[in-house]
Amino acid sequence: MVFTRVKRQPNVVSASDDLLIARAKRGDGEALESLYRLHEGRVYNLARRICRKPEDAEEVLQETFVELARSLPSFRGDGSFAGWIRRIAVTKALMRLRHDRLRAADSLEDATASDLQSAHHFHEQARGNARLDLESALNSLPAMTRAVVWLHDVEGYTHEEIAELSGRSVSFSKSRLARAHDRLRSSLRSGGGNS
Amino acid sequence: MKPAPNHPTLEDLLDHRDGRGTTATTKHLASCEACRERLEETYQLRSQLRALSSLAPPRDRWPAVRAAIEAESSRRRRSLIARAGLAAAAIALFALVAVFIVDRSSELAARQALEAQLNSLREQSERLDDELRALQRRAMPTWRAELLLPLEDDLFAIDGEIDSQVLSASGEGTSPNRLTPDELIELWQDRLTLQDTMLQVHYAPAVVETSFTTDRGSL
Repeated sequence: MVFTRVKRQPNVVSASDDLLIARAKRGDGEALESLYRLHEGRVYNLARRICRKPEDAEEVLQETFVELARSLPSFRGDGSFAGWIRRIAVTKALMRLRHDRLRAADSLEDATASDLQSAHHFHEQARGNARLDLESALNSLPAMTRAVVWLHDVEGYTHEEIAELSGRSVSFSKSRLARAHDRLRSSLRSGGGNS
Repeated sequence: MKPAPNHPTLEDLLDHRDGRGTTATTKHLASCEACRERLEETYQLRSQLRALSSLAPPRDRWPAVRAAIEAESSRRRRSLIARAGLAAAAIALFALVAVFIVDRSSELAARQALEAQLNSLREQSERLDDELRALQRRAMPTWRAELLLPLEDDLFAIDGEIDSQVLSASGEGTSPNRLTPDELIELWQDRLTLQDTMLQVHYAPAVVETSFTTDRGSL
């Protein structure tokens, strides 16, 4: 599937957000749409990096804004609005990751065997000098490993925050980050690193 | 191949990169060019990841989002009305249930047996968690780590389902499928099987090591 590439949006849009939030809280549909337009790119990109399938990322985008509309009255503006939306999106994306993973595993044994084959296949591919750029190397990471490296290295979440959001430990987050780096490095080396 | 005893692990280097390194790592880096290069690679990889283009939704999703928000809003309104009715019905039902409870001692005993089984599985699983945590702290070759990754993903998925069941039981969750006690026991048994497989991977002899790239082989 081909995606439209867009420029990274600025991180803070608080001045215009404040007015829009106040209007959206009063039930102004246009203000809600404007908030959506301002933030959809970042939310979708984040969801797309965590979820493997584009349609899942679209679902996360939708669920995030449904949740936003539901919880907006309780948003007091203590922190950044963008950060608040991002946190909702991460929670929704990780939840989807968990459920998809569980649904995909018809039986534990089958899933495990298939994952082991996939890990082996990845090594064979890397050893076979396949040209893997950073995008495809990132996509080839196991779901949680990809989520951790993206949340930590790109979105700037700490290991403590990732542990809290994913329901795992800080050492889990740290070991996933190290493995992601190790694997991405080896992919880029064997593939020529054309990213 | 195990990492050289004096070299920091990749986790240590990443901690250093993030400003949370130890004095020992800082000291080591001052005198080890290989580790400095490896550290530099972690900076570069982070920059490359941040430089990846943003992905935009392939189509305008707002009409669907707006429809979902409206549906959710009217569902909540209906739910509020229904809840008021339910509260009244619940009071009447409570009186009826109180009568039935007296005759349900055998059902209660069966439920207690299931809960005991569930507790036992939880305790076994927690013991295996401790053992796995201790093993994960050790340095391990890449091939072993690669075999463990998908298993940890499965464990993560099972934990997610268990969490959502716990939340659902406490009335906080949104899980559409509430599991029966038997299904919950099955879920915990799956968790134990998975942990057992992970232990087997940890303790597996290094016979396949030569067919994989070794961890930190360049240091």
